[in-house]
Amino acid sequence: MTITPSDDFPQQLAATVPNLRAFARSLCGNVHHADDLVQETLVKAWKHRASFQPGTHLKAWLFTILRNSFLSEKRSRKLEVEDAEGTFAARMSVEGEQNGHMDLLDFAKALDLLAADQREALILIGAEGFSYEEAAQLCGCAVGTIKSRVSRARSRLEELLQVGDEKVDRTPSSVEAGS
Amino acid sequence: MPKNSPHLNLLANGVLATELSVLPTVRTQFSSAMNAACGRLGENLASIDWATGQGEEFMTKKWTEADDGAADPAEGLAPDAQDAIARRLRSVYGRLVAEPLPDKVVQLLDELAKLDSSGKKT
Repeated sequence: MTITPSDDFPQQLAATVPNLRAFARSLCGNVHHADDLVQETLVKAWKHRASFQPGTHLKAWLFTILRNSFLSEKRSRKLEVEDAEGTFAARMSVEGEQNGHMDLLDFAKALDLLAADQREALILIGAEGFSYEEAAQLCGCAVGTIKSRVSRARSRLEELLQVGDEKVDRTPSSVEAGS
Repeated sequence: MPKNSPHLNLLANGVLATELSVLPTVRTQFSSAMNAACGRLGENLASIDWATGQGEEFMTKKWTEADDGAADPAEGLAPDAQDAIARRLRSVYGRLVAEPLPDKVVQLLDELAKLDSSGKKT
C-alpha cells in the first residue's frame, strides 16, 4: 500500500529543522558538518516521503534518518567525532560572562565531557522530549539501555557539577545503623 | 608457579577441604564479600536462600547491557539535582535550537516547498 504524505509535509519538515540541526551538532560536534547532515537528511526524507506514515512521529523519523546518515558516514570514512571545539561550551561562550551564563557555561562544558552515547540519550529524553521507547527505537537499542545511559549521564553531570547544595548520600544507612 | 604444580594442587585441595569443613561459614562470608565488592550482583547473591536454592534464578538469567544499571533514571539523584540538570539542559540545548538557520538550509527548504507545490499542480 502506498501512503500519501500529508499535505503539509514541507511545513512539518521545515518546523523540525532547528531541532534536527541542534541534534546534528550534538552528534558530530561541528556546525558545518551538522548543516551538511541536515541537508542530506532533508533530501532523503523528501525522496522517501511516501514511506512516511502520516500521523506518526515525523521528528523521530527525521532524527533516525540523520543519525543513520551520521553513523554510516562515520563508518565509511572512519571519521572521528569532531568535538574538539566543545559544541555546547562554544555556544555558551558566545554570550560572554553575563549574569547566570557562567552557570550554564559550566553545565555546557560538563555536557561536552559526557560519553557520546550518554549525551545523546540525555538530549533525546531531556531536551527533545522523546519517550524512552521512541529514543530506544531511534538508537536501535533496548529501552533499558536508554534508561541506563540517561541515568549515567545524570550521575556524571552531577559529579562534574556537584549539583545542589549537598552531595547525594548513597550510603545505605541501614548498614551503618545496624552495626 | 607452573600451571600443574604439585604445590598448586596441594593448595587447591587444602582450600577445598577447608571449604567442605566450614561450608556454611564460607558461603556466608562469600556472600558478604560479594555484596561489598559487586554491589547489585552481591545483593542478589546475598538474597539467595542457600538451603533451598531459592533466589538463584538470576545466576542463569541472560545478562544484557540493559540490565547494567537499567534502573529508573529518576533513582539515585535527589529531585532538586534532577530538576537543576533538566533546567540547564533545556536552556543550553534550547540556544542551539533557537539559532537562525544558514542560508543554504533555508534555500533547500524553499526548493522542496516549490517542488511540492509544482507537483500538486500537475
